[in-house]
Amino acid sequence: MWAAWVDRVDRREPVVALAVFRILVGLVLAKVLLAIWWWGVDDALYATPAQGGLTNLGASWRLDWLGGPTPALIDATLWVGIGACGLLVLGLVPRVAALVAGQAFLALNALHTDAGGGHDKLIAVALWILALSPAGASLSLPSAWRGRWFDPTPRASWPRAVLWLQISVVYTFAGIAKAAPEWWPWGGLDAVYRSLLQPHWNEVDTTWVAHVFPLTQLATVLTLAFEGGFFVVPVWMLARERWPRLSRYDPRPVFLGLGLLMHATLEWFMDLGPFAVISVAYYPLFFSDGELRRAADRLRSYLPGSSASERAA
Amino acid sequence: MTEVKRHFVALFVAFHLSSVLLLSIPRPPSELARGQPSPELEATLGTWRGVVGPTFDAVEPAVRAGADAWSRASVAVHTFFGPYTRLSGASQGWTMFGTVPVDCERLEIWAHVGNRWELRYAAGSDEATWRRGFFENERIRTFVHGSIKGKRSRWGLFADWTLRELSAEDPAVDRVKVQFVRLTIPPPAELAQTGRLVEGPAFRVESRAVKREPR
Repeated sequence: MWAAWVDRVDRREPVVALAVFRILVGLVLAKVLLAIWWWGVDDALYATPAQGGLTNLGASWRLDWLGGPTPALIDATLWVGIGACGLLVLGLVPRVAALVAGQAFLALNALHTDAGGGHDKLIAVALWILALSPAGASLSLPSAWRGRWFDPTPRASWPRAVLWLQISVVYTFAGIAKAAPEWWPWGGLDAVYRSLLQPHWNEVDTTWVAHVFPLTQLATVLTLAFEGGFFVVPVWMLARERWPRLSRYDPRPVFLGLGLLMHATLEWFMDLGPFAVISVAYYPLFFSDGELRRAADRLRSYLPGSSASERAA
Repeated sequence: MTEVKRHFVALFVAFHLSSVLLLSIPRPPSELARGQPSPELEATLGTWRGVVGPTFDAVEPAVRAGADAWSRASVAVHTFFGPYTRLSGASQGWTMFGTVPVDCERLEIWAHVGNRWELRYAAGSDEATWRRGFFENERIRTFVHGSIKGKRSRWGLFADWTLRELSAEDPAVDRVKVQFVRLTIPPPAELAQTGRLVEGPAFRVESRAVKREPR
């Protein structure tokens, strides 16, 4: 059994989805850190009252190790994090960049563990795995210098698998955690109705949802079915390796389509920070290099100038 | 890849995935695990009792015992993986609107200028927009609504900070007041008629005055 596990982990594939993911994670974290700087959140949140900040700070062992959270060190940490995100996006020293960006982000977050959300965890775990992965092999400046954006060399596939399992766990356990009555028929299925009306997450006036309450009930059912049922996707991905006939019953379009719909709806009505984008950034990881290439070829065949034979192919 | 490295990587991946799976299992509410009274928990259990029927009473002791057992096991799991998650940031715990209360609140910041109070910031307002981008940053919103709202000492520090910042920008400000206004989400039929959330009283009202040096 152990030998089979070692062989499974040791599988290799060309890095495409992971490279896309690397770029998206770098962009998402750069936006988060730049927003912290732009809106002066760092001056208020990462400083003590004596330094002009909001409240006392929590313990951040990384910053303590560097001498304590002085304003200069906070600024340096923030900008080192932003710089590392830039390197990550470009694919320059991507493992080091992912590690540095992740550690800088964690150092700041530790000062106020209650000023953030699940998206912070998704970003941090992504950077940790990216630091251990060959995600810089494609879609990077070094790969472009070598003359090919997509490097066909097979490399470790476990980081991609670990990451699609991660987002599957997020959805599945979020579904399990929804025991409150408002998510169920006997509670009126009004969880989405209530969510859209929460004033401190609202982007726009949503009081009109009262006129389409049945639609919000449907959204509640779909959200619960999507999250609670998401375990089907990783189970299918693992099972199809053993039983290839299962490939015909691909649940990914349904679940990932529902996920896109859910995140797009939330993003439209509410401001949940980078929650939607970082969640959706994980989606390409559900597809292998071959699947992404076939999808890209199919799309290309429908572009103007492509022949009917290409489309047929 | 050397044989040793292959085994090492396999071991690491197994360890990481174990942490992801075990740390994701939701912890039961502490009141349920410890058998402490809690109106919210009793309301949830009451709803499930109504759905499941008499069977619920039969299984409830087992549910409470299971919650207690998992709660204890969960502490051990978190202790074991703690150093790794602190280093890697791979901590877990996912609810994503697990409970959505009907009671919510709006943050308001008032400034006293001359002899009258002016509303300088109110969440969702297009008129009272002092540092709107700052207060609408998701980190500040989470901090204000999820953390300092419930802690009087921190709320006091927030009032101090507001006084410092507002009076520095506008020397005419001699006092500030920070507060939440209770809002309740009404049933759809009522909201369709009124078009607004039900407004309640202000709470966590904290005011601060500028200390002027005597001339």
